[in-house]
Parts: sequence; C-alpha cells; structure tokens
Amino acid sequence: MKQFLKFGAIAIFSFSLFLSSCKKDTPAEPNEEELITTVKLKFTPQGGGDVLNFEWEDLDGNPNTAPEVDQIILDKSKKYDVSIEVKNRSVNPEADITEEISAEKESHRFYYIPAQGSSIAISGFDKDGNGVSVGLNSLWETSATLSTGKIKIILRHYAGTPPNKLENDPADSPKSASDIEVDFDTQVK
Amino acid sequence: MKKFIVILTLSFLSISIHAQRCSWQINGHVHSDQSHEVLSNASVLLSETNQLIKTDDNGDFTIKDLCEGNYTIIVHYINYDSVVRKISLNKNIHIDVDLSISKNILQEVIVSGQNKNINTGLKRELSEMKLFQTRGSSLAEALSKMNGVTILQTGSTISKPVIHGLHSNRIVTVNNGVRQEGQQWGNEHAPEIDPFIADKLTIIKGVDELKYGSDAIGGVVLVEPKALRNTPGINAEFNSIYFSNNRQYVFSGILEQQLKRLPGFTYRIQGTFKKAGNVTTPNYTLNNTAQEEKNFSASLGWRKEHFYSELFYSFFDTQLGIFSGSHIGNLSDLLKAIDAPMPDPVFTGQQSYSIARPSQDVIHQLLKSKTGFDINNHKFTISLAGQYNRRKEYDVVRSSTNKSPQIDLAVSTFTEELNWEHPRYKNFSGIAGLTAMQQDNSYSGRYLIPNYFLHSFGAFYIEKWNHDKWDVQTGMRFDAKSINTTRLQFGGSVIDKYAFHFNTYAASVNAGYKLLPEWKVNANLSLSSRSPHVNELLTNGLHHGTATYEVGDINLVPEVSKNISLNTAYNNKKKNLSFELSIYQNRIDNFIYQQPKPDEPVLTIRGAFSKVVYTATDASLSGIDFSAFWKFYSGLSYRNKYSMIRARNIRTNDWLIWMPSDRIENEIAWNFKDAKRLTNTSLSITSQHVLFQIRTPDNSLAKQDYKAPPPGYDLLHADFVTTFNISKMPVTLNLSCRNILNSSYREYLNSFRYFTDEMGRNIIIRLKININN
Repeated sequence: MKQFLKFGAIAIFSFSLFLSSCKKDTPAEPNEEELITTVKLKFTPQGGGDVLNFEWEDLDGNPNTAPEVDQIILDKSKKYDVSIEVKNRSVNPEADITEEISAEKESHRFYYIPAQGSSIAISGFDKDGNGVSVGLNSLWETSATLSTGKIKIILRHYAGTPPNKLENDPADSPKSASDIEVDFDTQVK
Repeated sequence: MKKFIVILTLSFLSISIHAQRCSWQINGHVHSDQSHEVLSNASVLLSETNQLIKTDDNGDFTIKDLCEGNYTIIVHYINYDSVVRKISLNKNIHIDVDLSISKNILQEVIVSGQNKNINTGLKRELSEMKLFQTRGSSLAEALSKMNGVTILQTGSTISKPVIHGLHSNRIVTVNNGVRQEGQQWGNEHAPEIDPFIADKLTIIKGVDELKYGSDAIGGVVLVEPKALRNTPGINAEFNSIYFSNNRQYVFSGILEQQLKRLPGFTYRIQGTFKKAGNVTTPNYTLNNTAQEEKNFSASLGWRKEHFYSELFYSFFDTQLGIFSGSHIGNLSDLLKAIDAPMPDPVFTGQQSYSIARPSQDVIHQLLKSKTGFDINNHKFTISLAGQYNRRKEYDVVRSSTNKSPQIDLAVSTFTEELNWEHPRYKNFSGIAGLTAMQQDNSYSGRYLIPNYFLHSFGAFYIEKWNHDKWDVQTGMRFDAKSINTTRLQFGGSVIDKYAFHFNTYAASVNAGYKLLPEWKVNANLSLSSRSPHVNELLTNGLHHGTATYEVGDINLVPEVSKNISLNTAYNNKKKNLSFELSIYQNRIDNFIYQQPKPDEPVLTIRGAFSKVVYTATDASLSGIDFSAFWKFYSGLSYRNKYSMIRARNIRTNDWLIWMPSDRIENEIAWNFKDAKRLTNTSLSITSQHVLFQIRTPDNSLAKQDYKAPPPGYDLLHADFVTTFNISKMPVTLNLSCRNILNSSYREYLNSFRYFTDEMGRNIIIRLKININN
C-alpha cells in the first residue's frame, strides 16, 4: 500500500510538473528582432551649402511592400562629409541601431560601391580601435562629369570572436555576413 | 450371450474402422490474436495420446496418422492464455488457433521467439543486435538501416527519416503508442525522440497505419519500448558508447522492477546523456557541429485481472550546433559559399564541444496514460496524452549581447483515444477507435508560421480475417480537422486571421497468401490523404540556412495518395537462404512541394534572397526494395540490399527534387563458433554504393537547385560483435568502423552538400551490460 501511495504521489507530481511546463509563456512578441528598416545618409557639403538627407526605407521589413528609396542627387565637383544612420522605425520610439554599431566598431564595416560611371569617389572612412575602416563617416567626391548611376551600400557584420576584421577584407568576405545590402540611384548634376 | 455378441461385433466393427481410417491428420496454425504474428515454438498437446509437438517457424503444426474419434488439443505459449479445442475427427482438419495475451500480464508484452516474417503489408523491424549496432546514432540513422529508408539531413547534427522518398509530415511517428506531435514540418526539424526508449523500431505501411491517422502517406514509424516487467525482481541495462570522429560519448541506463509484495505494480526508469564535439570530414573539422542531449523517461504499470493501467512520462532535450559556414546572410553570400570547393578556413579547424550560434534548442515532453480492460472478451483501451514541444532557433545576430532566440515556437497537444477490439469470431478479428486532438501553437520572435489552434476528430475501423493460407485485412478511417490561425503583424496592430477545415479519408486492403510454407506473397492497396500543414499554407519568411524566402499558399488542398504495393518473401526451411522483394507505385494528387522561383528574387534590406513557393502538383513515386540473405558456408553469410525509386512531377513532366538515388549494400559476415568465454561473436564487412542522382528537375529553363547533385560514392564499414561475462553479468561489445577508407563524399539528401563533405572515418565502441536479479 505504501508503494502504491508513493506511486500515486510520483504520478501526481510528474503530471503537475508537466502541466506547469505547458503554461503559456508571456504573450507572443511578434516583432522581428534586430530588424533594420531604414538607412539614412546625411550629406554636409564642404565649403558651405544645404545639408542633404537621403533615405532607403522598408517599414514592414518584409518584401510584400516595396521599399521607398530616395535618389541621391549631388552637385558636380564637390566634396561632401557623409554620415550614415541605421534605424528600426517599426517600433515606437524608433530604435537607433547606429549606436550599436558604433559600440562594436571592431565587428562592423560599411562598404560603399559606386557603379562605374557614377562620377562619385568615396574615401576617408573612420577607423575602429585596430585602425581598420568602419565607414560610419566617409568623404564623397563628385567629378566634373554629369551622370546618373547607382551606389551599393553594404553593412557587414563579423560574428567571430575575435572578429579578426582586416583592412583588405572584401565585401563578400566569408568572415562576415550582410546586415544591409541596398542600392541607391544616384545623379551628379 | 446375446449381449456378448453385440459387444464383440461392435468392437470388431470399431477395430475395422480403426484399421481403415487411422490416416487422418490435424494441421493447424497458431498466432497471436493481437499482433497477428505467428507463434513459433508453441506447444501443442493432443491429450488423448499425450503427443506433444511444437509449432514450426511459420506457426504451423501437423499431427498425422490419427484415427476417427474425439480429441482434445491444448495449445500453450508463454505469456498467453492456453486454448483448449475439442475436435471430432472424421476427415483431415485444419484449425487456426488464436492465442490472447494473458490477462495476468500487461498488454504490450513482446515475446521472444516470435517469428519476424513479413506477412501483412510492408513491415520492417530493427531490434536486438541490429538495433544495438545503431545505439548512439539519431533515430533517423537507426531507421535508415532498414531497406527503403534513407535520411534527409541538414548537416551532421540534424537528420530525419525518408521512407520511399517521403518524409516530414508524410510520416507518422508513434512514440510508445502516442502519435508524436512535435514540429516535423521543417526540413531541419529532427524527430524529438530518444532512440534508447525503443526496444524495437518498426516501420509499417498498410492496414495497421489507419490506427494512427489518415495522413501516413509515407508510412508509420513505431518506437516501441520493451514490455514492463511482469515477474517479481529487478533488472538493469547500461550502455556506454564512444564515437572517435566527433569525440561523442553516450551513457544510457534502464532500471526495471516489480515488487514481490505488490504484484500488480511494476515500473521502469530510463535516462540518456549524450555529448558530441565538432565533426571532422576527411580534410577539415567543421566548427560548431557539437551537440548535447539529455533524455529521461519513467513508466509505471498497475494491473489486475481484466484491467491494467500505465503511466508514461518522457523528457527530451537537445541542443545542437549548426555548421557556422552554412548560415548565410543573403543570396550573393550563398552563391559564393556554394561555389567554393571547401568551406573557408574561418569555419573549420576547431576541436570543441561548445555550441555557439547558429544553434537549436529543442525540448519535448510527453505524458501519457493508458488504461485497458475487457468485458466478455471485448477489449477496451483508453489513452490520454499531453505533449509539449518547444523549439528555439538561435541565428547569428548583430549584437553580441543578444541572448534570445530568433525563432521560438511552442506547440502543446492533447490527444484522447478510445479503442474497442471485438472478440475473435469465425476467423474474424477487428478493432475500431475514436480519436480527438487539440493543438495550440504560439510563436515569438521572427514570423515563420502563425499562432494557431487546431482540433481534430478521427474514427477508424479495421477487420482482419485469416484462414489456412490466407490473411486478409481491410480498414478505413476518417479525420476532420479545423485550424484557426492568427498572426500579429509588425507593430501588433494588424491581425491576419484564417480558418481552415479539412476532411480526410483513408482506406486500405491487404491480402497475404502462402504459396508454400516458406514462400509468401502479399498485395496491398491503400488510399490515404494528408491535409496541408500550417507552414505550407501560411509560412512567409526568411529561411536563413538556405537563404530562401519561403511563401505558403492558402489555397492548397489535401494530398491524396493511392498506393499499391506487392511484396514477396521467401525463407527456405534450412534458414540459409532468404529473399524479399517489394514493388510499389504511389500516385499522390495535389502533392505539396517547394518550387524555387529563380526569376522572382526577394529584395530586403539585407539584400536579395531567392524565393520558394509551396506549390501543388501530381506526383508519381514508384520503386523497388530487394534484400537477400545466403549462408553459403558454415559460418559465412552474404547479405544484399538494394533500393531504387523513380519520382516524377506529373504536371511539369519532370523529376521531383530531393529524392534518394539508387543504393546497394553488400555484406559478408563471419559468425564464429561459441567459445568458452566469447559467445555470439561475429565479424562483418559492409560495402555501400550510392549512385549519382541523375534524376533531378530540368535546369535548362529556370534554375531549380543551386548546385548539381554530388557524384555517387562507395563506403566501407566493419563491425565486430561479441558477448562475454564479467562476474556473471553478460556484456555485449561492438567495435565498429564507419567509412574505413576515410573517403570524401557528399550526399544528395543532405542540404549541407552545398558547403561541406560528410563525416570521415569514425571508430565506435559500444558496451552493453545487463544486470539481472
């Protein structure tokens, strides 16, 4: 009888354990983590002039609605100091992912790849603690030739510890993966 | 005097009858009324003459040279109730004897010495030594030892069984009598079952699958534990295993007891711990391919006459790493990784047990109660079960401080089942049942499938008839399923709601005939149908492993399969020659598959992804399984297995993607004579030939696959098995070497064939110790 009681006790205990494990967790949080909705480029012309802002934005994060993309329109033969901002505007208040990237510069890198004939040259990237380019800030220089073109902007993320990011890593280095890969149309007038 | 003459005349008369008619014979056939397996070595006693004979391997017996008269036959078999038959003999008679499992023991008793001949539909088993030789491997790898079963892999850590080209939700897995409700819909979702629970793994196709669902188009996998102990005492079994390649070690133990003071009560506890490090191919070690598993189960049984009850609880927890070089940012990264002949050195070379992102953490819990009783030989069983499955998938993330999973799915399922088995009547036996299921799915993190609530009802009826050389079975099943889904979209403001209702039917007829005592033929005709799963209807999201964007289709309708299979098995009397041949043709209407849409890349902020859409077609799968065994010289034997399948997409008149290529296996085994210390000793060498898959979808119009199938490959394996005693405890040892030649190869059914070679040479040591008291 004693064993039977023990058996009953174990049965009840394991059943209650099971039920408690079945309890619903906190309500589902349906927002995608680490979603990036917006890439914002801020152009400050050297030698004075209006500050220009251009954005690439896909608010729902999925491809069911097309993104809204500004055309980057710049003056010829001019230098611009450019800073890039990365945001998640699907949440309220919007999340500024630039801060995250800035805090982990050693494992992030922006690449700016203008298409041929776009009349844009890009240099002057800011560096991380190891002296390797990050690309949160850059210098854009337009040539004298009028043109329309494209520029591809890629944010690569190094998952390794240590990240082992090197200056001559290509944009498709196997050490890193893309967080952002977007195209802007450009015009130099 | 008159009286005397009469007696004299009568006795003469009877003598003369005896003299003329003592040539009658009784032949008969003995099987279990429940499993329908023939019972060999059962005792048949003819009480009038005190003749005792045993049934042969086919469960048959013959008593010859009997005179006319009344006889009593008593049939005995261990753990079964004895049967007494009165026979009045005036001609040759055939009797079929059905034995019921004794009421004094639990229902699912498995009796050693049962004949394993295939006699009903397709049925394949893995038990005892063959099962022992798979210990430490995953459930799918163990099942793939059976002919016609291959595995679908996502790297070395995730594998699922494929039966005759079909997998995932087309296979129903039954864990200790309960239909497993985990998350089988994903290609990289392995079955959440500890194979050490099983004492026997069985695959069935045919009438009996109707007991478990109308949707088992590919077949049913039964994971069957040993019956609980029914005699007082205690026994234990310990397994310890080591794999050299990934430095995997496994410990597993079972303890069973029945108390003398409490004869109705019996229990078992079982647990497994498994830890494995990174896998090494012949040329490089794959980072982040470690895994860890912690499993536990307990069973309690209570029985009385005409009543038994059983409680079973199991807990399964696995954590597994996914090769880091397979986690792809976007399509251009994927194509670059695929084009590389071997993974970039950043992803190889670490010897480690640690698991980093990308990884999976899956928990499955099952609690089941089963109660059976019988009233006037009508048997009833009531099963109630609850299951909880939680799957967390960790992607590579941007922020190193992020510890949460990116996909988090929780499925809770309750099932209720009532079965009724009618007493055997004129060679008929039958079973009918009602089932109900409620299932709730909730997700957090990235959207892959919506939250849903599902409830279903099912009913089945199976009737079996057997007589002499014939064995005929038929059954049908109906299921009704309702699914209500909700999806909270980004920002939580928009709610997508859908309601689906599916009715599915299944029916099956099976006929077996014994051409000769050693030669059987069987034909099976099955109709089954599977309603689309929520992921096929409503998935809409990124699949990181393959850099694809998967899109469901809410207009999909149930798949309907019409399957015909013919099977013949021959076992000669000397038991040194046998073969089995199965031929099948499976036509599946509205077959759901993933169709790549290479001309519609999906653009996201992370770059381009290729799109795949769940699409329906009509499919035709036909194939052959063949196996043969020949003991050609005293201790030497040869074994052969061959399987092939041809799978067509009828609507596009093309081949279906992801189907196993033809494969052949040859084995030479040498069974040593038992020595003083070593018994059951054998050495075997197996060669495995897997052909190049030439039957893949046509790429000329649009790209259907990223990479051409890998070339075929040949592997060589060796196994040594022996049993010895350490202080009277039997110890079984298995030394095994897989891929002896350390060949580099890739398998078409492994999605990581895009990135890496398969595992290299692996030396395995298995030790099993039995302690009996």
